[in-house]
Amino acid sequence: MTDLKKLFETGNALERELVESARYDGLSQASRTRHMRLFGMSGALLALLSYARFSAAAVAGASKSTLLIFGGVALAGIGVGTYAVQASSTSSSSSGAASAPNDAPSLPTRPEAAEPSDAYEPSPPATSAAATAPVMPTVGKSRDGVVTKAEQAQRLQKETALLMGVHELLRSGQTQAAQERLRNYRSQFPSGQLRLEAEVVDVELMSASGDRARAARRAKALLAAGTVGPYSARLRAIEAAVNAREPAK
Amino acid sequence: MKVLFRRFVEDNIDFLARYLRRLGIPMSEIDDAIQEVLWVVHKKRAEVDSNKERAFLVAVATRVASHEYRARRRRSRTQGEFVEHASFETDLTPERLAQVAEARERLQQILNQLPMDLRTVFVLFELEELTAPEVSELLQIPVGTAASRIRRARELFAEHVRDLSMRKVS
Repeated sequence: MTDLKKLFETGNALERELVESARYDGLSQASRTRHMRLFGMSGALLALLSYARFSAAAVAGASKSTLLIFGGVALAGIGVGTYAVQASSTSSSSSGAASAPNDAPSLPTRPEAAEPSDAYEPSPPATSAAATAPVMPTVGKSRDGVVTKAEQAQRLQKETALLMGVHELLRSGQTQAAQERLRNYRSQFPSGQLRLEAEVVDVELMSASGDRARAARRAKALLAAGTVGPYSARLRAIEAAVNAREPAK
Repeated sequence: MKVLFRRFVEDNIDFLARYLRRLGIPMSEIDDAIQEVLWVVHKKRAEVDSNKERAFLVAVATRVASHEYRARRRRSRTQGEFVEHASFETDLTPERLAQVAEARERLQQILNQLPMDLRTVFVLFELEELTAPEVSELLQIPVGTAASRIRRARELFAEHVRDLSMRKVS
């Protein structure tokens, strides 16, 4: 019953050619590296990823925006390398990110208690506490004025927590509170490591709070500046959504 | 002991990419789909038996691909069929590369016509070269069911290949 032969052994020439053509398929090295970096990141940033995906989907309506935050970021005292955020706005897939986690198939669970999480386990997903989390104090420089890697990592963690709060508020439709939280972020981290993310979130907030024309202008200006790189798809999606609602006269 | 998730991703990401591609996710959407699958697996893995993590990955990937497949079918009815030429890395000569690309496009067209339950077993058995018991374990179905699905998938595949060769002749 199970001694089936493979087509590449028993099929005709055309069948073999078709089947064998799939062997050369694979993930490009660039994609592979990007995914590996993402899943080598800290839990906090992965949680931000989750928030950003959900809130971006809420803002963009039917379109799905997926953030890929990648880079050599390791908050466990390792230091901060380069990182970037890539947004890709794709289609009206019914497998939207927001629904996917709850759609997961079920499988037998472990009989024993859950093992301790590993270094890559993300923080618990969205909780309402994120929206009301106390404001984080600004991290200062060390006594000799040099920011150590550990401090830099700690600072990034705090930036992430604040922006997670913004995403969560945006997702739940509390745009005013989200704007307040964003102002808070900017006052604490005027040159923050996630300031570009903050810029993009700001545009999303403008759009969500009804200031669509301004959101479109900001998106356009950011895109024209050419410095948004991986955020461009997300900004274009906002611009397109605004233009679709309010076509140019 | 549970391996680090990074190691799990490392071990399975190429398989996942191929599997999603063969189930019909276009190259332009493959990164999104991978992220979606890995994110779900990451969130739920604490609830999954460690020796069933790969099966869970396949289940999630199949679910994501099915959703995407249905959405694409809806889109294709209104926007026309999406055709793509996937890029891939290989040391083949340009001529052979062109042949392989053409064959692979035809393969994908045929796969897209198979029902999802048959497509999954075909991809795992014929393209990933797993055995029928391995397919049954990954898909959490009885071995007999896996074997009969493989046979049916191959029959359908052969029919489509015959159609294809007839079109090539005419």
